Amino acid sequence: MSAAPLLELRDVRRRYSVSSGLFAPRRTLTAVAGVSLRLGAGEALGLVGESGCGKSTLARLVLGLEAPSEGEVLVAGRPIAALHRLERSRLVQPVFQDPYSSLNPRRSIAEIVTQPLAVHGIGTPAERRDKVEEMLGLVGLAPRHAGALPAQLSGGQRQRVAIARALVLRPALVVCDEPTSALDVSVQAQILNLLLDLRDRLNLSYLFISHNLAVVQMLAARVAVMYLGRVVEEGAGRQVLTEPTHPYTRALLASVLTPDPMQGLPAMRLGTAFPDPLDIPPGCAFNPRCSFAFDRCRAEAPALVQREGGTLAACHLSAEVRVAAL
Amino acid sequence: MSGAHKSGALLEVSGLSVDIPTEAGVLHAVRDVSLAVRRGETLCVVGESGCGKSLTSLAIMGLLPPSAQRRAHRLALAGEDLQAAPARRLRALRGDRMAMIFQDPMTCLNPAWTIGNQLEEIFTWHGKGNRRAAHDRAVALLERVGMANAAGRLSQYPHQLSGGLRQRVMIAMALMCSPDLVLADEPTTALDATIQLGILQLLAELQAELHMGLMLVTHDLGVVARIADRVAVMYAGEVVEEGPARTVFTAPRHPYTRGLIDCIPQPDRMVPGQRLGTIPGMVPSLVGEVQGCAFRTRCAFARPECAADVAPRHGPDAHMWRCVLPPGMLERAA
Amino acid sequence: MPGSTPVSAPGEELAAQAALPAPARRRRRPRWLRNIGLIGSALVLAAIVLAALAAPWLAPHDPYFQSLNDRLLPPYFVDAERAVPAHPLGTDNLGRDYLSRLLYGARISLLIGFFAMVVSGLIGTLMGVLAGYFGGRTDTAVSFLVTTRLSLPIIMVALAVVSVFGGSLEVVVLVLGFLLWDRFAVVMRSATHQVRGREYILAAQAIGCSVPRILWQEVLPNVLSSLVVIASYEMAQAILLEAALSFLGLGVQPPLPSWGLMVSEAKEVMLFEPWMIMLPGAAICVLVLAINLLGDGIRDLTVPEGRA
Repeated sequence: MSAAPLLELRDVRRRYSVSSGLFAPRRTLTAVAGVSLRLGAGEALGLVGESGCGKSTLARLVLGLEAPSEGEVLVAGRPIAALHRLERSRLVQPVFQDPYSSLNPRRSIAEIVTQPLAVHGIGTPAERRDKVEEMLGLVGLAPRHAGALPAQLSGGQRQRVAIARALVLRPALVVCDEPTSALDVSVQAQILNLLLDLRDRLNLSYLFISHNLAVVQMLAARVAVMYLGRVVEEGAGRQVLTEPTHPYTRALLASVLTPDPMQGLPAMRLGTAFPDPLDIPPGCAFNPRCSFAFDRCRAEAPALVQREGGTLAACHLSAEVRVAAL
Repeated sequence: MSGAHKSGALLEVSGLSVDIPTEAGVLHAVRDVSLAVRRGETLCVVGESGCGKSLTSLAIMGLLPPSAQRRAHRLALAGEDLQAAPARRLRALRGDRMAMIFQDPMTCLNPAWTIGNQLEEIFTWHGKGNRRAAHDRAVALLERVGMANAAGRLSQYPHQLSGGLRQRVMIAMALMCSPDLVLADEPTTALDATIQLGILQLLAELQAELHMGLMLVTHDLGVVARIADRVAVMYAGEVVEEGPARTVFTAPRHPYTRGLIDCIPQPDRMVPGQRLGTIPGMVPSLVGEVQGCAFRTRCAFARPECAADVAPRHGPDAHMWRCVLPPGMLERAA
Repeated sequence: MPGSTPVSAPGEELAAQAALPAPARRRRRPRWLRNIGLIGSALVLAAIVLAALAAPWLAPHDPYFQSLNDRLLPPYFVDAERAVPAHPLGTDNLGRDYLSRLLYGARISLLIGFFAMVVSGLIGTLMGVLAGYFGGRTDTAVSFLVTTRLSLPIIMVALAVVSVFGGSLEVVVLVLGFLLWDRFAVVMRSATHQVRGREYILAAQAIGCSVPRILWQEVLPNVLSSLVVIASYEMAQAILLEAALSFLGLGVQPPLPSWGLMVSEAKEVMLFEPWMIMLPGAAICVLVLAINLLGDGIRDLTVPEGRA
């Protein structure tokens, strides 16, 4: 962490202008509202949050597919959105959620895996053919899969192809956007193990985005929790999972249902309403769902400050109150 | 036999099979499934995609696609034979005595009608009362499922609600005629974790309060462990293990159950970087005759006798499993 | 954009099971065979195209050769006694061999239909794909052009153009090409918009593909099936319009043997020699029907597969 980080986000914001009807004025959707994060080479950072929290927008910003409205996204010290497309694609590569839509149905597996090489003009056709075999072997597919079409593979196999495509250019950073949430549990376990193996073998860095804290914790030593465009808690995975500081992190953690028949459903109450991202409540965005909210939470947005144990959290609750309350 | 033939069961399913003719041959999507749900009991049917769990619930409701063929030794709701019942009687039962909650609340509510129309129609269609009574019941139920301003919600359209609220409306709709049995097919899969928790809490409360039978179909073992009284684990169209939730989770007797439990990341039990257990291989094709244990190609404990059909074994508490392994074999695997 | 929710596919169990890899692939041939409309129309169309290509060898006479002695000879099926073996389908009011003129007329219809379709297809596909891919202002601009185009009556525009440039094959192709692109644009726009949302487009952007490369390699192959259907429909449309324009004297000019022109020439003797109007009319009907059926057949063939 002491050297220049591989990925650095400096107070990144991304706003969209949304039309809400023929005669209604256009409104501003703030998908990312001031996020700062750092990720060193060879590290993995987990980003957790629910739908609408801005984590997929953040993924596109890190991939350089969109430019931030404000702030900077630096990969290896350079603003990613300003780089030439060939240059940025050698730095960052994505693995997406849905293996059914992330592979072009009209192209063979070999074509999909070598497409990055063709775009970058790397290697002769013969070399690329060898590369396909090497990459398929790396992600645990057989050479005979090279000629198949995506429709002939299972969901887990397709996700392996997507990983091979992401790794063929040997990027330093891989952005995994919910890479297992469309898969069955037994397949999810295979893919997570594969991502762990690949990190160890290739010294990859992951920005691992998921709604599932348990999955994130497996891959990432550091975890950041997002709520409505802001990071509300960030720290070492162990620390965040065992002693969550922010009430939202606690709620997320409680809703990870482990297969333990001795425990019933957690008693946590979070209300029924998920806030409208177009109409974020004033003060702390979580205050309408928070059982500890007091007047200050409704008036003033808390800043992300360091707590005991090294965790950063954005919450007005004082340490004593929190200990008493939790 | 499992609990299927014991008296007092609200839903009895015995020897249920669903065959789907395809051009490659007959697909045996559901094979000899026996289940029972008692009043006030939650049965979770768990399995991965393609295991036949959704078709099982559709077969019970009589809502299979026309090409699918259903066979069963017995299929009865509160003692009434559903196979012998005429279509009219089935329509009267559906939504009244047995109700279903589907996965996707976005597509299950008709976008052209208000929430109120859709809730009240079920009530009046089944002849439970006039519009006023229907209105009152809808308001009461929406309040019960935790929606603020219930009376005002009735005039809203489905697209004006969030996913979690729509699923609450679906639950209210299922409860309009106070059914004896509710079948919920992946009711929380499309929802976020914190919203899912709220819906599960609601389902568990309502089930206890109204003393209904609840059959919950899901792929999520975490959900099952927390809410189920009994569990049926399905693999390749077959129930491979069935029993009380505690027994199935703490002392599973089928290697597939064991494998599924080991696949789940558990934050409180794992160190970062630790590998998860996996189940190698792929689900076999169910087209054509399926002989022997369908799991043997992926099973670390497979033996020669697995190639022959495996008769169900029975333990205490109506615990059933289809595996030849002697007890104690799977403890070491964990 | 909001984040994504986990989606499992338990509702699709049926589809997932039925689409087990190996058997699903082998299922295609029976579908082919069952599609009689497709095969029949393909055969008819192939026959017409071959006849048009081989017209110089198949035609018994020069289609322009006039012989006033042999005017208005009936075909065999009308009056076998008056018919002459040299003119099996008779002759027109200038004594030109009707069979030869029909054969050469197929060339004109196919030529105009094909090239008008190519010109309009290029314009419409380009506009539609760009609008669907970029959205926003590009989309607004293309929608405006489509609306503008739809407000232009084809016959009026053709009348104006022909009166300025004179009627010829090239003029007809260009007039039709520049007037028939609207459906291409509309269909390609929505097809591209659908593909645009797929994650493989994002993945292609992330590996550094340029926009033209994404359009050519990722978008186009996945909208091709709708393109083929529209292309066949527009080709049929162009053939009908050419016939109509020629009939009105706004299309190709005499003595070219266009089917539309032949209908027009025959209308003066329609009451006495009805076969003269029926033969080119039937030819237009059969050709247009075959092309439309072929398009439908190709759609039926590709739609279930395209869903995967």
